[in-house]
Amino acid sequence: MTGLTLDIEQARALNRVVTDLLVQAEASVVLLTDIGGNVLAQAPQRNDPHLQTMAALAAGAFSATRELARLTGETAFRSVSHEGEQTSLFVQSLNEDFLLVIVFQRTTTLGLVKLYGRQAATDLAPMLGEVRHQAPVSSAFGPFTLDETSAAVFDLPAPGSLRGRAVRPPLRTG
Amino acid sequence: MSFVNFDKKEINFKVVYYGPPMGGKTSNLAYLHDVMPAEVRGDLTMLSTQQDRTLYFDFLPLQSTVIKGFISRFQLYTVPGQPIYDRTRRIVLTGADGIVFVADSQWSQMTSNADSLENLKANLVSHGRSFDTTPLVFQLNKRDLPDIAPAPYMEFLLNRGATKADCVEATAVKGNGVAETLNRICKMVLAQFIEEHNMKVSVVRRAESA
Repeated sequence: MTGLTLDIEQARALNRVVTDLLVQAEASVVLLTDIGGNVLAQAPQRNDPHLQTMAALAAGAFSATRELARLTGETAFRSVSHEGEQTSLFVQSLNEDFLLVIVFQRTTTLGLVKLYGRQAATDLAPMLGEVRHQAPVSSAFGPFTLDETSAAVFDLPAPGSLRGRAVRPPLRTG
Repeated sequence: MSFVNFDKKEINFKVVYYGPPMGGKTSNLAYLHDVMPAEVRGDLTMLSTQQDRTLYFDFLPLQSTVIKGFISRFQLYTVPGQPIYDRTRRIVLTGADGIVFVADSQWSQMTSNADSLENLKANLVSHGRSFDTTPLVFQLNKRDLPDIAPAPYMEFLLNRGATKADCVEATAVKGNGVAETLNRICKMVLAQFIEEHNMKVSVVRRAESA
């Protein structure tokens, strides 16, 4: 099993493309995710746990549309659009493994989002190809080590006691 | 499939709770969401039918500082257990780093457990994965109910892979065994990830120094 690895330069290059897309398409959120719902790049840069859930749901929903495509005799649907009263969501497939998720308001148009989404897809294609095929690690980042002070990955209270209380200090999130 | 972002110092892992219908997969995530401190967990998202049966998946993101210098995010998913949702299970299983098989301990559910386990093996193969090398924990759930099979019998029935998996007895609705199951699968996932990554680092370093 081989996972994805982004080094610092790759991560920043991907973030530049999605940030440009956010500005040009006048969108409110742009996420670059893999088909498993991992967020590779996002704009704007903010630590919002809802974006992680949004990525997981969008990736799951898009995978379901692939099954629908298969059942209707189509190879794949390239994009899916969800239109709301105020906020809409456009998901564009970049290839088999990656998606662009674009959230936008009524102040912009689906046409503009599609136009700049296509341009971003062109810019991202070689970069994602490199991510997908690169050696998974760089020696510069050394081996990973576990924090030996943690007896368990998650410290939880015994059932029926301390329910809802924090059992470890707050984590650094930014 | 693990995802490492060296810019943000984050590592993502995916753990899927698999098993027969009404076995207690969603109860595991609901309990964890209930007891985890808010700074460690995100929202619990449940895509259910009006009868509270899982339609697509449940999703709960957790985070830990267990790997030095990094935020480790564990994204917990459940699959729908009903046989008709096989394509959905296959989709949710995509890229799983570890699996918790939630078995129903009631005697009446032994066939359902075995069928679901066979379905898991087939779906792993469809992803090009091996059942024997994927981190796996069996949770023998509903131990509080009457008319349940003895744990050794269930282990004999289910835990027959080339590598014996850990088994945890649980009553997920009351929280018994839920944390132990989570910690065991997370440790297995971390052990496999660190071993694979560090082996590659040592290969790269040897090549660089040659």
